[in-house]
Amino acid sequence: MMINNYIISFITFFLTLISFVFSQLDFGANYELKYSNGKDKDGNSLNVFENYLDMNFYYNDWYFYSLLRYKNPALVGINTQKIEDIYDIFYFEYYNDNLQIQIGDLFQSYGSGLSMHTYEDRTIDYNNALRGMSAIYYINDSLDLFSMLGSNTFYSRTSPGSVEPDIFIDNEVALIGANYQNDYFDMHYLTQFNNQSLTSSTITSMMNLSTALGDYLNDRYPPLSDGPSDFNMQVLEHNLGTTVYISDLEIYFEKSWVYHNKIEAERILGNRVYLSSYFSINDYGILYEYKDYNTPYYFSVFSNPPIVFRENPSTLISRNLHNVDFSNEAGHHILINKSYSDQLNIIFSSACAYNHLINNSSLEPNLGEVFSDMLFQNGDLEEYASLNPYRQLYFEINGWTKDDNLFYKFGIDRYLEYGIGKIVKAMTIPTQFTLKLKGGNSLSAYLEHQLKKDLLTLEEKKYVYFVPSYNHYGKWILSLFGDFEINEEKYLGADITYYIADNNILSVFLGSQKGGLVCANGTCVMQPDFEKGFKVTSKIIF
Amino acid sequence: MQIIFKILLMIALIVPNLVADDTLVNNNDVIINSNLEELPDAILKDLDKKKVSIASLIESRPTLISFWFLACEPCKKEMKYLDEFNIKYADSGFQVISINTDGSRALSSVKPFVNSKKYSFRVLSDPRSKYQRKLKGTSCPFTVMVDHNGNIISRHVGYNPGDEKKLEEEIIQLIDNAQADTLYLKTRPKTPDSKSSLNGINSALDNDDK
Repeated sequence: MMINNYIISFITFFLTLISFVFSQLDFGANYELKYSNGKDKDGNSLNVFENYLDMNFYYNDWYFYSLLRYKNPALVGINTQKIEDIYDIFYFEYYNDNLQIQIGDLFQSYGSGLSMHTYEDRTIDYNNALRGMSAIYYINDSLDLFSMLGSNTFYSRTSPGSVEPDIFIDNEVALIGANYQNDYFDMHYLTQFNNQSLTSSTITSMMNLSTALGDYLNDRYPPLSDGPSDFNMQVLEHNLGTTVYISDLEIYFEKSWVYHNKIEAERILGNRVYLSSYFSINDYGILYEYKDYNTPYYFSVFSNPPIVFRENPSTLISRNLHNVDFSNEAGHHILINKSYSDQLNIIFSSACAYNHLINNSSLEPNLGEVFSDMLFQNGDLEEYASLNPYRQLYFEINGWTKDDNLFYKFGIDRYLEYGIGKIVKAMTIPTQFTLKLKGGNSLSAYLEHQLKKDLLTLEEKKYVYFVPSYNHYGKWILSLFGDFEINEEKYLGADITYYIADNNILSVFLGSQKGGLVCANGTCVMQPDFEKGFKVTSKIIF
Repeated sequence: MQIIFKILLMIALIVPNLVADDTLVNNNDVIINSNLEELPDAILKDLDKKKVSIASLIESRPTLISFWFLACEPCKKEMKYLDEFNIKYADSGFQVISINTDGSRALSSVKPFVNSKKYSFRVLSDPRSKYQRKLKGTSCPFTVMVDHNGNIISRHVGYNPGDEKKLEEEIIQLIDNAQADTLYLKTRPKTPDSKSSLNGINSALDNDDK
């Protein structure tokens, strides 16, 4: 790894140098800085200094990308100060009309990502990319073949509150597949082989997981046993997906079959299923989604399937984000969109999910009960408490006034989730207004209210989130942040963003900011509270 | 090491502004990048999963490329205006290409949203943001202006109500440049290269004449 990074450093430096000499080689870069100096909730010093530099080089059909990161101290994840740590991502790409080849860190997804979807999210220190080579060969407009070969050491956290990872999994992956499409249907098939290695310390860390895998490991290695050994297994996945188009109806179905071992035990079969159906009646766009992810004894690294609920941009609603168990969860989602005019749009979304109860599926709700509950919100789901049920209903209207000067948004969100040691029920009302002023200036305000109750402790909390901001056309934006828990703590802050140029933005935040859980496809990280300090963020495109 | 990065930071903050004075020309308050940079090509899929080459879509037309995702409120506000521009300036050869960056976790919800809005522009999918990264974008909304020769003229990060004025000014400038270029070429013998590179604009102008 270290040698690789020295070579990549040299290549990057060399390409940068010759891009100044040869105009045929295009060079571009994007720099982002995050600096903060403040305290966390407990009054401890919270300093962050993170730097990201994206670099792009083109020469005809060739492309080279690299991301360098210097984090010392890091907000999330390990500090990266040495040359062997600084190179986070790099890849070469070659493409023409028939062929695409990528060498380096591979970001790929096939179908809905049930078996393979690799991506990077720097805000939560998530990256499951393989380092190796991938290729797509377009035989004709209807048929293409693809393959992938690579390895990585994936790291993750058993507790979202941890800054540093405690799970490290080595993977060596080979994948091959094909896509076919015509005007009536499309389909893909892939087969994926993964040679996966887990160290004893990683398996010990996994015992802290509050999932079926964690329960299994705790049963297998009771306190007075010898504990786990290093473990290696071969995982074989078959993945098949197809879309059928029938007039305005579109149906997508995908399934993965996963052959793997229980850790230090027998070989078993798990599966993942995803179905979506979209149709339109009188311009009401109706989407129905179904998921059944059932690989409870497998810690999946490359599967990042659909979440099957609507991610809401509201700050207070997102603090109740459903923590999906991608190894053991079934769920449904109905989404309806309708635009009557620019003045009136509606969004309706209803979702539910629950875990499979291992070895006792008779307690799971039937389809009639599921739909009845999604639409009518029957009771508090006590009868399904053992399945850790989740339910969320959202309705929104938004639009611009006729003179196009005022934007409005009103929503209402009802959320219920059974978690470990808590049952959270919340109702949130997010609103948003934007008023256009003369000369391209504008005023915006986010006003949100939330009532949250823990049904176990009966503790009730009220939150108000208010953020007004003024945009001075093309020059600067001033935002004030008020985040209140009624009769309890409050977070006040101010942010000014200055557009030095279209490609150069500088933001300075002063004050306090409430932390929260940030989740992405099975990985969640708690962003810490930030008390009485300042943050600087700069984004520059060269 | 930290000192080195702090020095680099200072350079990074200062140099682009110094460079900007040389590379940006102010023409009716519209910032245009005079350093020509060719738009990289890529093959993306549309919402019906049909493969589309960006270069084949550009076809010598002034183009605005916009990146967005569903949970991005400013993106959706900007799209209303992009739709208006796409209709208003279509006869001049201008087009908007909208590129959604939602990954597989929310991809199914994109089509219902787009269809309900009946947008006039074409929507493509860049689920791993690879093409966005190629164009030096890391956040949304991210807007790239491309001239009729396929060169990147400017980039915009973010959207606030009122910014559509600036976008429209740039669009008009792009169209003016394309038409001036075309009229100039019409008055001199056409070379094979110029003919092929300006087919889109010529045909748009011919349609206008009719």
